Amino acid sequence: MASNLRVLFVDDEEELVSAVTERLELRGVTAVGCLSGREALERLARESFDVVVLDVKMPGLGGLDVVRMINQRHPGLKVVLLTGHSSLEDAQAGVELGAVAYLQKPVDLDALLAILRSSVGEG
Amino acid sequence: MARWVLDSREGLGFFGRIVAGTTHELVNILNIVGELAGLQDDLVHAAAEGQPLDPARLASLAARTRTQAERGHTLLRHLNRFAHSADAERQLYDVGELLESFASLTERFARLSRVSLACHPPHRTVVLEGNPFAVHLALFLCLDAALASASSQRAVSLQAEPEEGGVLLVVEGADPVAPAATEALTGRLAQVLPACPAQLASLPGANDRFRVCLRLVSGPPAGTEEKEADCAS
Repeated sequence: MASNLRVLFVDDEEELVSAVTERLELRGVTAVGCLSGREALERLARESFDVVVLDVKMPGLGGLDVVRMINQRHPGLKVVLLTGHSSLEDAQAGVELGAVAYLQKPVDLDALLAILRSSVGEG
Repeated sequence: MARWVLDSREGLGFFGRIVAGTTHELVNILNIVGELAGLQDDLVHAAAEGQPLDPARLASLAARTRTQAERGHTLLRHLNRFAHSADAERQLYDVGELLESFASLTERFARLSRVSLACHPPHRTVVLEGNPFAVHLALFLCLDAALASASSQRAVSLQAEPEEGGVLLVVEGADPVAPAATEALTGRLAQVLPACPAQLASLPGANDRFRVCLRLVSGPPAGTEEKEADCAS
């Protein structure tokens, strides 16, 4: 099913970013990957996306800091957080900062897709 | 004295950090393997709906999965070796293998600090008798201090230079370390080194870049030689 959805997927695990963006593309989503919070912010400054999917725990600029900066620089941009078991509190804090949802890894791609579509009002 | 190392809060805490960090990496690897399997499923599903299957893409998927499996195997092998380092207070251990395992198990800590970790094992096989768990802990205390002083995008190196009767371990970073941090490290090492057994060969001076040298020797933990001699007589 084709979609106009543009998603920025951010995680420091390169192979995970590669696999997930490929899977999203097969589902008709335009998916771009970044390997760090800083790289994501640089990308967001140049291109527009509907949703950012963001790992909470990353080296350097962490997920929560990226959420804060997105709130300042790109108000209205939807953020979905991904978290491991040890970062649940951070994920909950991210929702309080304005992220629309968090999902625990391993990612259920269908659940992620449903959240992505509903966050932009797609059916 | 040697038993203290494992039973102490410092030793147990260190053990926990290594296991927690390594198992976190292993979960990441398994997540990736899951996604690659999912991608395989997606391609099969697309083929069933008439889209051609690209053999090159499938071959690439298999290679990517194999890479993650090898990554996982390597990490587990090192974790297993680390766990066995606590088997006995006195055992034979290969210094190069210990350094290789240590670097593998602590690479994540360096990465989270945005520091690259380089490992230079000894140019020849060196087997010592001692407490490899205590050696791991001593190295970790040095690495922890080096990472705390390191700026982002810098490097920390671990190297082992064989010498008469043992090995000189050098933990080196590019950035200076505060005198208070050096003092704290000295205090912590003073409790661990005798168990290795090892001596503190050198420390960085004020405003010097981080460089700590530990002289590892072969033998019983320091302080037990007299006791063993008494028992033998």
